[in-house]
Amino acid sequence: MIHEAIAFEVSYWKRWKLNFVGSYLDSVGLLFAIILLMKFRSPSASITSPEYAFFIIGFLSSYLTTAIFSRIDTPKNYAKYDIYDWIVSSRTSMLHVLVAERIWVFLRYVTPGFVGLTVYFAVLSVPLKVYFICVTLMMVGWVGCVGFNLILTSLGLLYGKIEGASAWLSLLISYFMVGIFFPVTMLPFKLWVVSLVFPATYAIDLSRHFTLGTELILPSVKMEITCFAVLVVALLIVGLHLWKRADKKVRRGELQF
Amino acid sequence: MYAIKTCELTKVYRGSEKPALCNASIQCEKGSIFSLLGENGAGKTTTVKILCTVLLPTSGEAFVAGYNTVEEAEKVRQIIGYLPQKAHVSIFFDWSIWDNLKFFSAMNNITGLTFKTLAKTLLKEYNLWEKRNELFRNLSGGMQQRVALIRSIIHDPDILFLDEPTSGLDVQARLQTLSMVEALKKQGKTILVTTHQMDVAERLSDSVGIIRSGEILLQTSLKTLKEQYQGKYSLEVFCGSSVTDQIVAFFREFSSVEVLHRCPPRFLIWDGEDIVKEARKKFQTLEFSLRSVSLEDIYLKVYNTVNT
Repeated sequence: MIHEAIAFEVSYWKRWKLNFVGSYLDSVGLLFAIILLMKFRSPSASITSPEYAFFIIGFLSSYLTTAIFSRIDTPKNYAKYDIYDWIVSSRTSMLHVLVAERIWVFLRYVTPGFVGLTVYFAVLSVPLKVYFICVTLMMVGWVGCVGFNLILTSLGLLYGKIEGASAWLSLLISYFMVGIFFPVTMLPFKLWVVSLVFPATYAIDLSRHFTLGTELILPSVKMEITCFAVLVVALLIVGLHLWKRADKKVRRGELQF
Repeated sequence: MYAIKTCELTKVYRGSEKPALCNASIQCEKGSIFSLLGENGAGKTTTVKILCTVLLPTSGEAFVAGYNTVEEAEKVRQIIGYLPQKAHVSIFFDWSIWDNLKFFSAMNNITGLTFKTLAKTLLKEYNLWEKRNELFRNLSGGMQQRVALIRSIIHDPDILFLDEPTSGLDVQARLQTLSMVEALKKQGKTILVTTHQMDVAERLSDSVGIIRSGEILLQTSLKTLKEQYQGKYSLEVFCGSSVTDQIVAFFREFSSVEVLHRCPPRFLIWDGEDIVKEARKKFQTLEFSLRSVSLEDIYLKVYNTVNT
């Protein structure tokens, strides 16, 4: 899988050099723009004040969990280039390629995420132990997002035509549902319940709790960590199960891309 | 043990009443080239896709190097190379040859120094080394096909599936592709080729199968076929369509003549010389071509036999 991920990265670099550099910088740029906006709103606030810290940790955590990059149109993209069949017949598998793509996204967006988080935690003087706890939480969150992405991809193959719009819609929804900009407790109850299926929600919430001491969305740390772990495992299991079904459907020739 | 074997393979696509493959059984010996011949839509690509583990059969079984393509798909994928139909469009057009090979080789776990060594050797062997940094879209059709073939063999598979490797190519590109396939056979690879170009099959194959509407009509070695048709001739008549019926009617009177094709008329003939002499007397303005039986003639005969 690492081979495939590196191949993605190298090929992307060769094709769109400017875009490639941009993708490393866009998170930093976006973060900077939002901090500027917040500065206009409350000029006296410093970068270490709670409202800044709340947002910045949420934003960087979401990058590390790659929560906002759940795409469901990958198989269609391969079918567009007519290489879907070739990949299936090769020594790798479409499942490997999908996970490799997640690793690729992770490598791409996590680099600025890690740098940003490390610098910011240094500014906040966060203990090293908490830093490693947060990084672990985000890595586990990423694994959960792989499962989540597999579920979306498989559902797209099983039950509907995969259009670019729906692919990006899932991305947009997850952007506002995992508590990057505001606590998920501010969401209407029904949406709050939905937000609990995103692994990033827990990763972000727990990271904030350990660094800033904010309130948790569930009654205790133990309960939230348990829920988080169970969710990640469940997402992976359901994702793999659904993918097997979707793959079988493709191999039965029942899917016209 | 056969390198490639299918047993009563049937494939019915969802929403289609007619099977794309119907109890198709073929066998291909290790180290040989097997050509699957048939018209468009006959079921050639479906057969190859099932053997390459891309498609699941509705019923029946397929084996590659003894591995079941459904239950042991992972093992099959370790030992095969696949050149899809229209292979030249299944490669990234806006990437260079090198980048394409690098990307697709990674999918077969060929990376780093191993990739560089293998890619360099193959690109040099197939005269593409100088062009390695050119975009795929800027290559000629023949070069694109060569790149696609290199992509399919870079991981040194034992068994190759080539789905219409020469279709849409000009004469030179076709000859280059054919010599590549022949070289692969010399290396001991087992190759299954699908084509509707009889000259390609005749040049490459050790054995052939003829498929029509998903059914295998014939499967035998080329040598056996040639022995079977030794002493028989193919007669082609060059004429306008207005006299076709007359010519066919004339030749039908002879018991040693079989109609292969009506327009333009082509016949399978025993004791050819005398009949042709008589035909030339009767149709003095027409041109006749008498030659030994080719695979194309046999193909037409098999198709006609089923029709009648």
